[in-house]
Amino acid sequence: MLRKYKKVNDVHGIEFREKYIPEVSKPTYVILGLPDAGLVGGISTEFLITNSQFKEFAQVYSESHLPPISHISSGIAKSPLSLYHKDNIIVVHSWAAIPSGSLQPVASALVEYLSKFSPPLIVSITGLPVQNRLDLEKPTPYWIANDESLGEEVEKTGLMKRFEEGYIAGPYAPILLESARKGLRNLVIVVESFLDLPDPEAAAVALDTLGKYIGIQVDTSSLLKEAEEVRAKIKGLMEQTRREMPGYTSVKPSTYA
Amino acid sequence: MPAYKELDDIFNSIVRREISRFNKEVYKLEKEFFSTPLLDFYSCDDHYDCVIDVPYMDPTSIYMKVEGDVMKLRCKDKMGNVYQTQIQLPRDADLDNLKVERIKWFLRIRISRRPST
Repeated sequence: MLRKYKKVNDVHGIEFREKYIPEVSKPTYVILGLPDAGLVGGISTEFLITNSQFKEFAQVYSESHLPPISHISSGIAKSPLSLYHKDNIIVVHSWAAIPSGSLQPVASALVEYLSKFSPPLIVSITGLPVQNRLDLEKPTPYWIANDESLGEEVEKTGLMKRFEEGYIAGPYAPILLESARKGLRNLVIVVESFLDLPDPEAAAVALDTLGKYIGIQVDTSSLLKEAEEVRAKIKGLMEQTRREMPGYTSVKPSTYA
Repeated sequence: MPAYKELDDIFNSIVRREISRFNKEVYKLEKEFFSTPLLDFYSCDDHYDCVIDVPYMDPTSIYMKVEGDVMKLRCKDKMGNVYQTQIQLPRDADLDNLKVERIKWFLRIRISRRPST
């Protein structure tokens, strides 16, 4: 008999099934890592869940909105979109790119499900493709918020520059708006990166910034040491992301334009 | 069958045909086994940058050739896997002004842009 995941939410034909109800302490932060520019978000959250002993507690199923791809972990096939937790942090990580036509319903279902944890903050991590990425010693992190008071708080820390003007497309755009609609605060950490090349260096900057902002220790030295291995491992995901979202995250701060 | 004045010409023709056939077979075989590398192509004010990422790249295996407005690139990683790609270059790419360099673990091909007339 298969150990079943219990269905807890079903929005737009997107089912959330929990293995157990996670005990997460307060304040509960949610960190999102979905494949897009430079795979910055995906590399960041994969590093977190594999190096900080996060536990998987839920999987997301959808016949019409998720690609027909299974993530295999220790021989077990799983949904490409899974949720993990540790202490006061919930990580949403996708092992495959979400098709562009499904971003809106997935964002809506995800925010609806996450709202039950009443998180004071949802943090998304993404890349900002810049032409001179290869010439940068260290990529710069920027912030985008869906709430003015959150923007003021982040600005005061001096950890990231404000993303003055531009646009954001891809998986994080509908999440910014959906979370605002639900009254949840959403911060996007945007780090200068490559567009179609996996960028572990940018992910390390994002994790350092995130760690300082929410007060957790993240040692990213091994991520930088294993950068070559990381890039080799996720080449296929980068190719799939490029296919699924040909026009994703073409963001540009006015400071660069 | 064309006519030849010299016996050597017949021989050379056969050799050329065999070499061509052999090259086609090699190309077909490689196509079955090679991967396409990940790359970013940036259009800047006065140049184009093509950044290619082949993890564990063997720098001694890099082979590049420009045919018309198509740039062909071939290289291997340290495990012997072959990577191959061809890139259609924009019309104003100045192929006489092309620079290839290894930066960090990437291969960057910088091509100047001809000033517009």
